[in-house]
Amino acid sequence: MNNKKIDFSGRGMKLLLALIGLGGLLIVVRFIFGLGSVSNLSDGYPWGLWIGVDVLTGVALAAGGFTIAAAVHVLGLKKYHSVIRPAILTALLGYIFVALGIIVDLGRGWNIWHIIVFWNRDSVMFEVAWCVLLYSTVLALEFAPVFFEEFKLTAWEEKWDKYAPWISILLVSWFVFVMSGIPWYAGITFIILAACWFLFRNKLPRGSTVILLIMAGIIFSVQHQSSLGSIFLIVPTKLSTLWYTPYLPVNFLISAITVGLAMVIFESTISSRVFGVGLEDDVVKGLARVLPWAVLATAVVRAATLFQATGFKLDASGGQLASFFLEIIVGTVIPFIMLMFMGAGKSAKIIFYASAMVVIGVVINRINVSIVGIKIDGYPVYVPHIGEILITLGIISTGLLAFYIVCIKLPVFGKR
Amino acid sequence: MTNHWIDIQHADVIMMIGSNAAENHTISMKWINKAIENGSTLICIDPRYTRSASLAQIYGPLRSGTDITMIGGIINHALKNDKIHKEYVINSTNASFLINPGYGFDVEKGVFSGYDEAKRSYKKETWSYQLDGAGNPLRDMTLMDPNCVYQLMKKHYTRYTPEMVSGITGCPKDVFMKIAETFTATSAADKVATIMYAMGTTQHTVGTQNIRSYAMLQLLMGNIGKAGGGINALRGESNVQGSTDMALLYNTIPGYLKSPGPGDTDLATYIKNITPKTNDPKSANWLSNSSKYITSLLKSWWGEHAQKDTEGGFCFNYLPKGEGWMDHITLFEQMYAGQFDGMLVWGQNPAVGGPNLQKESIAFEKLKWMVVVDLWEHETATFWKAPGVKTADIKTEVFLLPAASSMEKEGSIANSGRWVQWRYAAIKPGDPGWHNDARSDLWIVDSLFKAVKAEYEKTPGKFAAPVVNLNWDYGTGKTLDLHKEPDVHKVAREINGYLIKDGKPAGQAPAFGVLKDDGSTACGNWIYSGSYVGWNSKEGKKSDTHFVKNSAGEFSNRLAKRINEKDEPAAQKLIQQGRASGMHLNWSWCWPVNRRIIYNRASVDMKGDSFDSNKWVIRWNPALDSGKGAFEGDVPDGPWAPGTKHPFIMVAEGYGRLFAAGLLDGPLPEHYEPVESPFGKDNPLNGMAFNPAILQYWKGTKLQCELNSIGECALFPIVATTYRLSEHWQAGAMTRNQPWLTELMPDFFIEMSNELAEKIGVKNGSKVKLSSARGNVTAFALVTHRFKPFNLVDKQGKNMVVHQVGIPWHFGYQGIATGASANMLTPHVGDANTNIPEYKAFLCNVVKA
Amino acid sequence: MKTSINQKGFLIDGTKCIGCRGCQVACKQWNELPAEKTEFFGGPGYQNPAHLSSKTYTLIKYREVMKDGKLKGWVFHKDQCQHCLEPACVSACIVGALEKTASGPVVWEDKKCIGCRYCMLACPFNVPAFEWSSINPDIRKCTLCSDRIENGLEPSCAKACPTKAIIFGDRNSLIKIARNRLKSESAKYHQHIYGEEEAGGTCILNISSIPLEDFGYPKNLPKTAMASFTQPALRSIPGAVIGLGAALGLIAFIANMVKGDEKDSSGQGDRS
Ligand SMILES: Nc1nc2c(c(=O)[nH]1)N[C@H]1C(S)=C(S)[C@@H](COP(=O)(O)OP(=O)(O)OC[C@H]3O[C@@H](n4cnc5c(=O)[nH]c(N)nc54)[C@H](O)[C@@H]3O)O[C@H]1N2
Ligand SMILES: Nc1nc2c(c(=O)[nH]1)N[C@H]1C(S)=C(S)[C@@H](COP(=O)(O)OP(=O)(O)OC[C@H]3O[C@@H](n4cnc5c(=O)[nH]c(N)nc54)[C@H](O)[C@@H]3O)O[C@H]1N2
Ligand code: SF4
Ligand code: SF4
Ligand code: SF4
Ligand code: SF4
Ligand code: SF4
Ligand SMILES: [Mo]
Repeated sequence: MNNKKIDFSGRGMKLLLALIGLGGLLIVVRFIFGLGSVSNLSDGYPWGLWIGVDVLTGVALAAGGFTIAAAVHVLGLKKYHSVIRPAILTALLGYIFVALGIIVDLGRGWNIWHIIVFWNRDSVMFEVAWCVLLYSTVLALEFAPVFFEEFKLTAWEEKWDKYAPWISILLVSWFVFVMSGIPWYAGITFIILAACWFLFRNKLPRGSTVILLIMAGIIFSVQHQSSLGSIFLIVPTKLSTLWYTPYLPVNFLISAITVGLAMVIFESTISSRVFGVGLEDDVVKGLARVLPWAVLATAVVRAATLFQATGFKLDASGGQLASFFLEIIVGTVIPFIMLMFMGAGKSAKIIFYASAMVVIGVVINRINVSIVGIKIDGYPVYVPHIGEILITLGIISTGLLAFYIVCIKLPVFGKR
Repeated sequence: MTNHWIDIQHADVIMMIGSNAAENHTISMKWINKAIENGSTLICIDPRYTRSASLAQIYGPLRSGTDITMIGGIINHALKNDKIHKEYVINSTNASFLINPGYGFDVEKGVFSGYDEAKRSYKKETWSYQLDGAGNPLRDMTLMDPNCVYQLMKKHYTRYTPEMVSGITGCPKDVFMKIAETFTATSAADKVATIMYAMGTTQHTVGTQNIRSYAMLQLLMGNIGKAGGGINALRGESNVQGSTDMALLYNTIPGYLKSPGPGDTDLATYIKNITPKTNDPKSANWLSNSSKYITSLLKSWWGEHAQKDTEGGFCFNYLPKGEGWMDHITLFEQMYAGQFDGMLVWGQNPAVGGPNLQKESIAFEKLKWMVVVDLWEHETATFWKAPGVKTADIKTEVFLLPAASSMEKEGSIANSGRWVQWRYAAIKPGDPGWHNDARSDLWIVDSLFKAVKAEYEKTPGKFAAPVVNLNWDYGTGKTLDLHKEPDVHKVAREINGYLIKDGKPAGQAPAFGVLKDDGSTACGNWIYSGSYVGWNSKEGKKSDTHFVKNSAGEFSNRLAKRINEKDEPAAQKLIQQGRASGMHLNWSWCWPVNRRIIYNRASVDMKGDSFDSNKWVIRWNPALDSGKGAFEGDVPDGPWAPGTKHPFIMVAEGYGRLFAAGLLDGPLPEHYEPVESPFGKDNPLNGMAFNPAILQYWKGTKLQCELNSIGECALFPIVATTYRLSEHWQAGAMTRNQPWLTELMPDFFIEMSNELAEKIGVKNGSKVKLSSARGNVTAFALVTHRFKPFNLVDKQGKNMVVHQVGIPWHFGYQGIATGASANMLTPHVGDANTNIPEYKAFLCNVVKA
Repeated sequence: MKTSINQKGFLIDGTKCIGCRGCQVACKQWNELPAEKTEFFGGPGYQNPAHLSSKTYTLIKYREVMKDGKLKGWVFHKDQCQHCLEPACVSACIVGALEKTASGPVVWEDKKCIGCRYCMLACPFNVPAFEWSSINPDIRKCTLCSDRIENGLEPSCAKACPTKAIIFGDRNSLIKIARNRLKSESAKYHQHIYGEEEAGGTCILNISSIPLEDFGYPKNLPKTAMASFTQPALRSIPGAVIGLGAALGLIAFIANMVKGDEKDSSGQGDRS
């Protein structure tokens, strides 16, 4: 990455640009003729691909950011430090494109700021929105040093050092206030975090700046990763018991952590190829050692909650069952076997494919919860419109392109 | 209706037969629901399970065209098991009357005595009472004489066994028995049933006899004249009651007076011909007053020109003396034969609603001109550009006059219960911002008449006098005025009638009792006399509010009265004493003389006590009228003390007619198959296939035979019926142009059973092709459990399965909701007495389209 | 949300309904809703359109009831917003654009809505509808004619109903009427007042000769408000945040400081 030139001539790149162009065009159509013109969404199935993939999956795949940050900074597993930046970048871009997906999906996207003004504390969505908003801020702060570095903004770096921890503290406290409406809850939050600041002040490299940012990031992530599951708690009669359980938020959180790990492996493997940065073998191997246990944990919790919800009395259609087994086999059984018994310790290939399958498994899970698992009588079953698929591809392509550009232009993979 | 909508709530049993009131008279269901809440039983008898049936406790299926068999079976059950209201039957019906011994019914031939095969009609001499020396009917109060009506009926209906009923109608025997038992339980003096009927009853070759059979059943049960009883014709178009009162039909002139015929050479002859006679002093024989009504009518029409000895007496000879049939089918047959130059199509759409449209749409083409007065440019107005029509070949000149809708007009409207209510215009057709081209029908008539009169005055031609002498002043002046609407109050006052002094109007007639046959009164319609009583020139100016009273403290325009009986202490007091509620004697006005339940004298015994003290209609109160006694409650059928006059005052003998010579096709209803029957020519009940007294427009002249073939059951094995849906109105112009209603029922469809669908290989929503001997149409198939094939037994005793399909007839090619018209399939075949088309039972075939 | 005593609602009695759809048209008329383009029929019987939508706030559904292969009845049901006492849609709405008014109606506020359609997902009866081909789409549904109620009129559909199958009144007295009917004509009714408890109770109370589930209403609908499924998770958040903050601080302290001042293995020591 010495030349810092972006190569637009490759075949992959051309495809990306084409998808982006097509998606963009369809988004224009969508904003002129309404959602119905490019989607198969209906009054029975008000949510489709954009929520299922762009939003739910996007957020889940961005979980690598907080997972690695937690490992490095909270658990002190410093050897994973090298993947932090790419992970955070993935997360940041992930959220930006989640936001993009939401804007496309929202009937009145231009009113999105209403969530700041009109509060409905009873709404899970309200919580998710605030969380995502605040977490994006934190992510931006987490990623800011990369900018400062690149553009040598030393003055900014100092300011960042000074204010970032307090901004984090305030954001979390504010969130507690937003969610509870009770000022002294926010006060307690403030005091605890301030105490951490005090505790870590001058003790860690960069004082307590990084650790507080990371803590805030983890808090917000844990909240909204799980809350994305809570969103579906309100549809006990619509969502098949294959997925519906009061512990949906737990399932969502734990699978998000798992997919976060998988995503880091997946994405750093690819990056290393694309950008030619050497991957530290033991970083990937280390993550790959944890991953099967995370997969297992996810599966165990899932099984327990499934049993708790249904006692295995299932209420599902054939298609739903098929999709359920696909999710389990692709996302759990196969990768677990690959990672545990197929020499994952040696083969980077196996690790890569296994983690890819974990990622796909979670994608299927999110699609299952939000689309396949829901059946509404009297409406033709929802199948995404080609327009929805193209717009989704366009958004994803934009994300990839942005990731590529940022990685080339900014020191994502360490200082040069 | 003998009774009225609100009164249905008092019925113990409601038999809805030949009506689908839930869909076509929805508001009636409010009262039916109320009755059911109070424990009443709703019986619904219909070839298909309708929205009415959905509320019924008993649903009786029957193949179209077999009502007489069904009712005959119930009558048989009642007579056999003595389930009749004896006291009522003896005192109020002609059951005890002895009939001419020459009378009889020949089961082998299937005809009553007196049938003339060549003329296809009856000589009715034998359908008569045996008379005593004074000329009064002989009676046997024990009902034992073999020639008494009761015994003749018993004999006639023995053939109508439950097995026979089930084999012909297709109604399972157990269901039939349940119906018979439930209904005849109302023969108890204090139990009452109502019968609600409409087009499912009338639109048959035996339509009139169908109604007769219902009426007879009600007489046997003693249910006529009572609250919750009666025989209730649910009228169709919103003001069809008013239209018939005003002589919409060709066979009457206003007030149900008979239209004069060629034999009525002058007024005196006419009066002699129409006035029933009796020698029985206890018979009120109300129609003996006919001379007064016709004279007042003539006076009203030709005013000062109508003098005692002008033109056959009071200008009687100004009236046309028509001969023969002039019904819809006949007119269109004549039109098809080229016998008309022009036609006024005024508020109807025969290009959808008329029977046998193949033929009728060609009939239009034979006209030189056609004037359509309507709200919409409907199929009739556009017949010359119908799909498949060669417009260039059609020479008919069509004029379309836009009419103002009911919301834009003030005036009266008569509902089924004979209540004539005054309505106000919500907006006037000429109001700014409104479509200014439309005019009220009254304006159009007024202008048209003035123009015609001007023509006659210019060139008198052959017989100008009736036109130029016509009494015509509705406040718009002598010449055409585009913007002046006629005064509808003047019309209403003329209909009510007025006294004449020195050749000038001298105050409104208070009731038809004052009408005279000496030229001193004028009345546009005697049965409406008493409706608009309080007018004098001063009051006329403010008479548009319904609270204006005349000098006697009476309402000027009784039609406009709106006093709920809840707000009337007197009514409330009577209701507490058991009078049936819901009579609303001071809400609007009801003909005749505001009587809400007609034949109500039959609801009391010889002492004047009601058969039902809990919901009586009238009762004799000896304390009233300063101790002379009077009826209280509803307006009685005459003020006379109980026992002094017979109850049925509109017939000469004063008794309800179980045996009646009035109809053309028999004194007792007998089952004949529809002209197109799945039994072919074999009527299981007698030797005659179909009604022997009907006109046969598929025989005779070549023109008649054209396009009016009758189908063979071998080629067209499926019974078809046509009917209405809540969501559409009639020929459809008013609803198929309405997006909200179109959304509900966008397409032409037919209903059929799962069994038939399976047989012809179609599914719900498939397209099917229906054909009859006249034509064919394509429709969506609605496959439903609400249709079931009928298990019938033919004349030879063989079981057979007969399918029936149902066809809504509202569709046409104009408007938003379009589709084929059911009447492409129906024949020019009608009832023996009225020639109303047999829309309800014909044969067809259905195949996958 | 507290159930106020004087909440208004309907008692819809399917046994009195004749499926005439006067209500359906009256609703369109009052609310000035356009007609939908339909073909043949959109559901069993004469049903049209196929479902509630932004143009159709209420809909009559038709069911042929069979028993032992024989037709036992033809039953009609009026579908519409049930005006839940504690509406899922209201709890779900991110910006509080849906509001439960004190007198009963659940109404939508144009100003606030962002068009996320979570209300649609959340409603157990699939009531809120979206304008799929509008640039500025509204969420639309039955308002219980709150504009009429406010002016002392009964809702348009109830007014139009010829059979009194829809009666408008205080929820409490409607429940009494419903109970009376179930008792006095017990054979006629499926013995249940749908809406008395479903989803925490609704202002629309339905009685019929068959279970409402046969009209596609959710099976096993809980008796508690739908919000009760999300509330525990939501209410736990502030506590969870505080707890998580403290826990993270503690772990970080143990991992980073108690374990000793481990050197940054990557040697970056930077701000990430
Ligand atoms: N919504 C609506 N209401 C209307 C009208 C309309 O067009 N639309 N039209 C108005 C007019 S003008 C009229 S005349 C009335 C007519 O009112 P109805 O007479 O109730 O109307 P139909 O639907 O023609 O026929 C009634 C029933 O007769 C049944 N039927 C068919 N054949 C037979 C039979 O042989 N015996 C028996 N017992 N039943 C049979 C049919 O299945 C049908 O259900 O409705 C008036 N009301
Ligand atoms: N197959 C079949 N055919 C049938 C029947 C059946 O059961 N089966 N039923 C028959 C019966 S009972 C009837 S009554 C006839 C009905 O047949 P039609 O009378 O031909 O049918 P409508 O559609 O009622 O026609 C009334 C017309 O009057 C117009 N109109 C409304 N208000 C006004 C007004 O104020 N002034 C004027 N000038 N016009 C106005 C309307 O727009 C409409 O076009 O159809 C008959 N045809
Ligand atoms: S006149 Fe109108 S409001 Fe009255 S019952 Fe008939 S349709 Fe209903
Ligand atoms: S029925 Fe649905 S839309 Fe209506 S109040 Fe209840 S949750 Fe909201
Ligand atoms: S679509 Fe509008 S009303 Fe529905 S939940 Fe979202 S913001 Fe609220
Ligand atoms: S209450 Fe009003 S908005 Fe709701 S269905 Fe009835 S008429 Fe329509
Ligand atoms: S108006 Fe009344 S009777 Fe007619 S469909 Fe609606 S609820 Fe049923
Ligand atoms: Mo009619």
